[in-house]
Amino acid sequence: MFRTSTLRSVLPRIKLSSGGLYRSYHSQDHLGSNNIINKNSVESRVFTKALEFIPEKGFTKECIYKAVRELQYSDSLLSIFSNSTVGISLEFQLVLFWLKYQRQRLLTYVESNPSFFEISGEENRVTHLIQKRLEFNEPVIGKLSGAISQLIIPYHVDKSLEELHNLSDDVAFYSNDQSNDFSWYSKRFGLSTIYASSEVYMLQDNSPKFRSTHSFVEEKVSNMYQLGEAYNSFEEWTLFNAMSTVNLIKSQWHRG
Amino acid sequence: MLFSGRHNKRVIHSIRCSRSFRGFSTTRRAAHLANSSNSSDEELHHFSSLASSWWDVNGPQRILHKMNLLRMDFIYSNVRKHLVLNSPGISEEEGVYIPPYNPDLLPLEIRNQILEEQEAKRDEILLENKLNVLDVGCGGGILSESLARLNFIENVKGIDLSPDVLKAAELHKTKDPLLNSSKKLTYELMGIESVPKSDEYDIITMFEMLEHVNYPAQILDEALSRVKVGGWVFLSTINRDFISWFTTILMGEHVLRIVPVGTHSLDKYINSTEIIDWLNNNKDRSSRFSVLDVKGCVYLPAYGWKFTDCSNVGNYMMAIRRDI
Amino acid sequence: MFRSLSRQLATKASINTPSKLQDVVIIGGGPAGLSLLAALKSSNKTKHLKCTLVEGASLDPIRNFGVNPPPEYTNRVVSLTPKTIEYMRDKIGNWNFINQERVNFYDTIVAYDSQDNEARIKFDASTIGDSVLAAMCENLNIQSSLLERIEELNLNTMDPEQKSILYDNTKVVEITGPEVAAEHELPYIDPKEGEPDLDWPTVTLSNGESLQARLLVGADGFNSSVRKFSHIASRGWFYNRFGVVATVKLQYEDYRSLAWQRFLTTGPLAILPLTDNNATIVWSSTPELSELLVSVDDAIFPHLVNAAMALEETDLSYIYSLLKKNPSDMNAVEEIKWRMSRVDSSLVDEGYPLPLESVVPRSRARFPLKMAHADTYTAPRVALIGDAAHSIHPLAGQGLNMGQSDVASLVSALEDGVTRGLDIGSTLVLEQYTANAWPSNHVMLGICDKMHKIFSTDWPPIVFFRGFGIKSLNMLGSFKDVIVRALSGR
Repeated sequence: MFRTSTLRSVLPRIKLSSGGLYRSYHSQDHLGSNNIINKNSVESRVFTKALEFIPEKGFTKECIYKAVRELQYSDSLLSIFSNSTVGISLEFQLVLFWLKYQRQRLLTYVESNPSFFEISGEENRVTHLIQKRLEFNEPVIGKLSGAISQLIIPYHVDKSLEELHNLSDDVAFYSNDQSNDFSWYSKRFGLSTIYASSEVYMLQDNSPKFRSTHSFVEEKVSNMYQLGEAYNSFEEWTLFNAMSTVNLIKSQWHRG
Repeated sequence: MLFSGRHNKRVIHSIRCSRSFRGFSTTRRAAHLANSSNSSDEELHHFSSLASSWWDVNGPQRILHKMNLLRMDFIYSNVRKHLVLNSPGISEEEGVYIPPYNPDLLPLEIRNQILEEQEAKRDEILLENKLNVLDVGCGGGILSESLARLNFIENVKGIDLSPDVLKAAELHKTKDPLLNSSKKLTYELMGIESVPKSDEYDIITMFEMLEHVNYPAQILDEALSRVKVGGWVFLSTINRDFISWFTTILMGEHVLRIVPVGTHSLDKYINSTEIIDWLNNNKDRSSRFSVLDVKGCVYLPAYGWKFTDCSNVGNYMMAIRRDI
Repeated sequence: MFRSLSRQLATKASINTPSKLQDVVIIGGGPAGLSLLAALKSSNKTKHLKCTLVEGASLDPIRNFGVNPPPEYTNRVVSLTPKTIEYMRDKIGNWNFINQERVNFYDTIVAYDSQDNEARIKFDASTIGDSVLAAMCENLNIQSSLLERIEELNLNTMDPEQKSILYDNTKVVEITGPEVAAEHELPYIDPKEGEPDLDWPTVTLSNGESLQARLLVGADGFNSSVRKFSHIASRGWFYNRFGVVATVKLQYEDYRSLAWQRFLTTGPLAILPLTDNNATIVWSSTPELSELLVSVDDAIFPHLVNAAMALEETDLSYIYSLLKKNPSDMNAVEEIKWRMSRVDSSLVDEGYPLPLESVVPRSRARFPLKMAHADTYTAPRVALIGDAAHSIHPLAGQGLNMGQSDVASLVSALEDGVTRGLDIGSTLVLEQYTANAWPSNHVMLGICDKMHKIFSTDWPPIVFFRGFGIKSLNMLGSFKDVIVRALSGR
C-alpha cells in the first residue's frame, strides 16, 4: 500500500535523565544538542577518566578509585557515588556509563561524518552502525565478558535492556527507519537481538580485525530485512486480496 | 418482487369506480370499501415519506428503479419491432431490403449490413413520427422521465392520484436541465377517467398499478379508449399464484420488509390469461386490439430483473396494440 | 467552516460566470480519454451528447505527428491486441487515420528464463488460427489518429452544440461536488421558486471557465484528480522496480516478426519489433540498475541489451559493477564481446533476438512500475477509465488494451443508458460498466503481478518449478492457446 511516512519526525523523543547522565530532548534540527552525557558534571568527569583504565583493570571499582585519585578529588566522593540515589554498585555504574559513552560516540560519529548518510539503503546503514558500535568494543574486548556478566545479573536486567533498546532506537533512527505501528517495535526488537548476539559472537572471534563478526552482523541484518520485507509483502498482499474480494462481490452485487 | 408506487390510488379508484365495474375474474370479490378507506390515511402517509427517497437509486426503491430498465427495454423493443419499414406501394428501390427468410442464414457481414440498414430506417421512421405518451400512475416519475428522454417521444404526460409523489416527480424533473428546459414532460393530478377522451395517445403505460385498483377491467378499458390506431398500451402486473404470494407478499412484505405489510393483497392480482381472455371474449375489443407480447419477469439478486418465458408465473409485462 | 467558505466563493464565482452544462466532461487527453470521446461521437446512440475533453498539456505534438511525423520512432510504444484494433476499426473509426507505415504486426512471442535457458516458451498466434498476435504502435500515432477522427466527426456534425470541444493546455483547478447531505433526502423546495442546484460536479479550469458535467470521466492517469474527488480508493503497490524504454536499431531487419522477452531476476527485458530494423525495448529493473541503464553511453547501451538477452546473471552483475564505476567504460564492451563469444553458437541464430546495433539518442527514459486497482470505477456522475482506474506491470503489454476495453465497456453501458432513457450520470447506468470491466481487469492485474513475483526470484525451488512449468506449458498446445487468446484479447 502507499503508506504515509511516520509521525516520528515530528515527535520529540523524551528520555528520563539518570545519575548525571542526561538526555531530555532529541532534536533533528540541532544535532549538537543531542547529548547523552553531561560532560560538565563531576560524576561524568570521574567516570570518563575511569574508562581509560578499563583495558587494564577491567570493569572494576579500581578504575573509579584510580580516576578519583588522578583527578585529585577527595576520596569521600566515592561514598557519594556508592550512596547515590541510583542505588546500584559502582561496577555496574561504570558499565552503564561505558555503554552510554559509546552510544554518545556513535552519535558523534554519525553527526560528524556526512559520508555516512551517503550509504544507500537503510539495511546497509544499519549494518554499518552496528559494526561501528562493535568496533568501539575492540580496545576492551579482553574485559568485555566482565561487563556482560554485570549486565545479565537479574536485578540489572531492566537497566541493561533499557540501554540496549536506546542503542537499537538510535541505530534505527539514524539509518532513517520509516516504519510505524507494529513493525516499529519488531524492528527495534530485532536490532537489539542482533546487537546482543553479535557482541557475544565477538567475544569468541579470533579472526583478524573481527572480520567474522562483521560478516555475522551483515548476515543477521540482511536476514532481518528479508523477513521484514516478506512479512510486509504478505500483510500488504493479504489486505489487497481481502479488499479485492469485497470489491469484486460489490461490483457484481450492484447488478441486482 | 414488484412494488410500485401507485398503490394509494387504489383507494380513490375504489371509491370512484364502485358504481360501474367489471372484474377480470368472476372469483373477484366485491370491493371492501370500508377497509380501503380506513387504510387510506396510513398509506398516504407512507407514500409521502416514500416521496423523499423515491429517487435514491440505492434506497428502498432500488428494485423499482431496476425494474424500470426492463420496462424500457420492453417498450423500446416492441415499438421498434413492429414498425412498418416499407410503407405499402413503395418501390423496391426506395425501400429497405427485408430478406424473405431469417437473415442469420446469410454471411455475417451481409447480415450485419442488412440489419444495420433496417435499424437506420427504424430510427428515421421514429424521428419522423414522434410519439406522445400517457403514463398512468406515474408515481415519482421514474418511467415518465425515462420516456421523456427518448428522442422519438414527443411528449409525456404523467398522471397520478397522490399529490405527494407528484411533488417529488416535479422536483426531480428540475434536476435534469434536459427535461426541465424542454417542455416534453408534464405531470397532472388526475385519474385516467378524467383524461379527456379526445386526447389520444400513441403509448399508454400502466406499470405495476392494476393490482392496486379494485376494478382493473374498467381502468384498462379507459386506457384502451384513449389509444390511437397503431398505438400501444403497455402494462405490467402480477399473476395470482403461489410464486407471487411468496415473492411479493411473504418475502417483500413480511420477511425483507421492503414494502409495508398490506401493500399487496393476493386476490387483487390478475393472471395474464385473464386479461387476454377479457380482450378476446368481447367481439369489439378482440377485433380492435391484439396482444403482441407477454413476458414474465423475475428479480434475481446480484443479477437484476430478467425476462422469462413463463408469462403466467409471478410478474409479467404485456403489450397490447390497437390495430384499427 | 472552510467548506462553507469555499462553497460561498464557488457560488459567487458561478454567479459571475455561469457554468457551462455538458453531458460528458473527460479529464485527460491520453489514448483512453481521446478514445472515449471518439467512440461516443461515433456511436449513433450517444453522438448527440455534448462532450468536452480537457487536457493539461499541449496537443500540438500530437497534431504535428499527423502532419509531419518525426524521423525516428518515439520511445512510448505500446502493444495493441487484435481486439483493440478491431474496436478502433469498427467502433471508434480511428484506425484509418493511423500512420500504417509506423505500425508493425507480430505473430510470435518467445519468452525465456535467465536462470534456465532451456526453459523457453513460444506463443504463436497461428495456433489459434490468427495471423496476428499484436501490433506495435507509438502512443503518439494512436493519439494523433484519434484526434483526426474527432475532427472528422466534428466536420460531419451539423449541430454546433453537438460538436466535441477540446481544451488543451488547460489544467483542472478544482472539482467541486454537490452538498453530500442531500443525497437521501430531497429538499422540499417549490420548483417554481427557482432552479435548485444541480447535483452535477463542477470542474473549474485554468482558462477561467467552469463546466458542469452530467458525467465526469477521469482519464487522467495514475494520480487521477477525478478519482481523488470521488474518494475512490486505489490499492496496490510499487514494485521497487523501474521500466526503462528505448528505441533501438537492430543490425538488420528481422523478417520473422518475433517479439522476445527474457525474465531476469531484476525484471523482464523485452525486445519488440518495429518496422525496418527498428525495435523498442522495455527493460524492467531495480532502481539502481535502471539509473545505470539510462546513464551509460549510447555506444555501450546496445551491447548491454545484447548481453542481457543472452548471458548468465553472474556475468551481467560483473558488467553492471564495471559500468557503475564508470558509465563510459569501454572495457565493459570488450568484456561483453568476450563473454558473448562463449555462448552456445547453435542457439545464437534461432534462440536469441537479433543483436542491437545502436540506440536512438535521447530515446531512453525510465518510470516506476506499480500495480494499482481502484476499488470501483464508478461513483454517482463519475467514471474512471485507463490508468486512473488501474496500473499494471508492463510485462504483458496490456496497459493500453485494458484502457481500450474500459472504453468499450463504458460506451456500451452509456448506449444502454441512452436507449433506456436514463440519466447517463446515474449509478444505474454506470454500475454496469464496473460490473463488466472490473473483474477481467482484476484477473489481468493479478496474472501480471504473479508473473513478476515468480520471475523476480532466484530461489532455487521456484526457479526449478517455473522452469518445469514453462517447459511443460510449451508442450501443452491447448493451454498455450488459452494464453495466446488472452494475450491477443480474443
